[in-house]
Amino acid sequence: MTAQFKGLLLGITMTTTNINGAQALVRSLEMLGVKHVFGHPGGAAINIFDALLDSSINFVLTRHEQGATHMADGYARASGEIGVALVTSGPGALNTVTGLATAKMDSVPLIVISGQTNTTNLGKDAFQESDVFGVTMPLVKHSYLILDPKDIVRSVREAFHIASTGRPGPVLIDLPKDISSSAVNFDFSQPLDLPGYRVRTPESPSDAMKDDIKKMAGFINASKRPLVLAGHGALISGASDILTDFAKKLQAPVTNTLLGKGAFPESDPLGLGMLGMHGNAYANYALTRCDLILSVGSRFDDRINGDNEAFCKDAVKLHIDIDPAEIGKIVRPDAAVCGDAKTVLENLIDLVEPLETQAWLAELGEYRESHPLTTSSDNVTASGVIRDIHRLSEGKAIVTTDVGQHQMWAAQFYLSDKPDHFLSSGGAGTMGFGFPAAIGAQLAKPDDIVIAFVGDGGFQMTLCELATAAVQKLPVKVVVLDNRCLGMVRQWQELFYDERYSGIDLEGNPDFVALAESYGVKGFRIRSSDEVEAVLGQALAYNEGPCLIHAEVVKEENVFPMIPAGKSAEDIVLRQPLTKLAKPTGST
Amino acid sequence: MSSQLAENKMEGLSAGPEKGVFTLSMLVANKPGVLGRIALVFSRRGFNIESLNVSHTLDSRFSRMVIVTEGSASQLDDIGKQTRNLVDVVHFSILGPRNESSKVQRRLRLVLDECNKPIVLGIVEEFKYKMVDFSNDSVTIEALSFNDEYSTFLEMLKHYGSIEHFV
Repeated sequence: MTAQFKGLLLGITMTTTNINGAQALVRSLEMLGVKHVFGHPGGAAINIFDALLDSSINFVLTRHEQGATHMADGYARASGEIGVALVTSGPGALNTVTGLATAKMDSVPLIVISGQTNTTNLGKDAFQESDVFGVTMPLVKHSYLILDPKDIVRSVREAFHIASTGRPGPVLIDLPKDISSSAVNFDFSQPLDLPGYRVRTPESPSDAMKDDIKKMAGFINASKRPLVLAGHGALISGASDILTDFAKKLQAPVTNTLLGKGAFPESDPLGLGMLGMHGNAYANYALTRCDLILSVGSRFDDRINGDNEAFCKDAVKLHIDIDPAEIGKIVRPDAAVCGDAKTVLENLIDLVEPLETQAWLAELGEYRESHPLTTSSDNVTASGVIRDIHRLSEGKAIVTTDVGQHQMWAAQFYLSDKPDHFLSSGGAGTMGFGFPAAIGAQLAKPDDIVIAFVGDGGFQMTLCELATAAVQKLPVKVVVLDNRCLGMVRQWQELFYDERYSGIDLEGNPDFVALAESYGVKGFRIRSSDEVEAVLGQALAYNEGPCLIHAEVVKEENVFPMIPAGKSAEDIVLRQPLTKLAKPTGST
Repeated sequence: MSSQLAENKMEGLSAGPEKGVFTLSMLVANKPGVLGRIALVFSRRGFNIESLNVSHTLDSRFSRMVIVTEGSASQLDDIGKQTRNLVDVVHFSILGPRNESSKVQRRLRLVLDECNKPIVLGIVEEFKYKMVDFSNDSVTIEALSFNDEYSTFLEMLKHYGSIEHFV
């Protein structure tokens, strides 16, 4: 449970009169434990910004609203608390759409508060009026358009409750300007009114759930080649420790999704690392050979399961998920438990026996030996730079990534041994996420090293936040892996589209070091392989504020292994193919 | 099947044909935007809503929504769970196509206020039942239906008057 939410449960009562709606909103945020709000002002939100001046909350002015949402998102992912973004109406609010979708896809507790035109102008195409409540409907867990000042405090408390409980997600609060300026009787003790909201986080499981757990244990105890699949749900529920004990008791290997990195230590002998499209060969091999797969908070999405029919065809499939809509959505499980991963594992662990897995682990070990991940040190490659940073930072940094080739290399080479240390836009695949997310993460964890791995493509979508990082004096390290093109699309065009390159050349890139320095951000440059070690050492030691490391990397490096979209783990491509590959049937 | 899993499975779908016309009944918050949220869950999967009825209930905080849609049972199972996940949806059930021979013929009389008559007649029409008699303060309805469908019908009707059963 987040510290923020505890205040809510304690039923702190406080009643004040003679404050306006904006002040009531800000006071509610304070009482819910909010420390930082990320955003950008505007006319419709001006009352809220006025109220912020008298508040204990630190407001972080971003240069674009998208950046604000990703910062709040990164803050939430790194801290386990709720991230809050505050923007104005119309374009300001519309710029949060990508951030909301990113948070929804990755189950991140994010609150976006948007100013709105006066209620009398709603629907009349007033200046900076957009139906943001309508636009964001399919992208949020829930949303509010507040039409009565009496509803402000209760709505904010409900929004925090909804965002952070069950399967977390983003909640939008749209607040018209006449409502934020109306007088409010501040009453924090008003009960929540959520008759349709069911939270599945029981302290102890129900009898029915116990039956499901027992059934699951029966399958597990009969397995010779078990495989545990750790997803983001395991991290969200705080199940890492129990998951580790569970896998060790069983002596079962554990693979993880991109967002499940850190749920089980990847450098542990039982850890197979990431599976899926660009996952480790041995993790994907385990998929094809296991006789049982247990997903703990993973939704079997199309990045780890290109072909539903072929996915672990002969294995028993078990699924633990807090969201009933995920069970059976993609893979029909032989047994499933709908509940909180940590609670379920705590009950499951006593019902399972250590398994005879020596032969299975030996088989995987052998395969691993013969199919390692590789990278080159002859030239400056993106994968090599990431591998070196992993070594030099002793794998302890909080890493954020953008989206594309570098994201996959970061997942492969920056092994995660601790929860909440690898922050990436997995579901939405939002370019521009990595750098602002790192700013949010650094605010949440001021004593940690925070490294943003970004490509030259994605970085240019949100690089204006260099100013935000500089003003806040946050020692974020931005590693721009610059291959002068949109690498993942280039890779697809090379492998599947007869090297017909279309729309991928990033000619016109700036001098990133000069750009950083123009913002007052320290810049480092890596051009040749003999500079890598020394420059990275200096950059990692630099702590006076943000710094940018511009690594000019090889353009032609491709990410392998690769399972072509729509194919199963059997069809894995381990290295640069010598023959032409068929166009993938899957979409991305 | 244990109850946790059963809860996640929509009534009667596993035995039913893959494609069919389904009637969905839900109790939802009586607020702006709720219809939009629900419609989006359907349109996202390319499902068309064939007919739709939204009516008040005795409790002004809630509305009753009945949707008829056509599509595959497995997709509808997912849609059902995603709809049920919406914060504004309090109760949700799917009435799927089944063997006609398991339908039962019943009659009931509902004593009601005149002002509720249009709503009740709307519900009767939605269920494709027949109104066989009416007076100022009552309607008599003939229903050829599955048991669970009839239960939902009664559940909905009870908000609008008192029910007298005939066989």
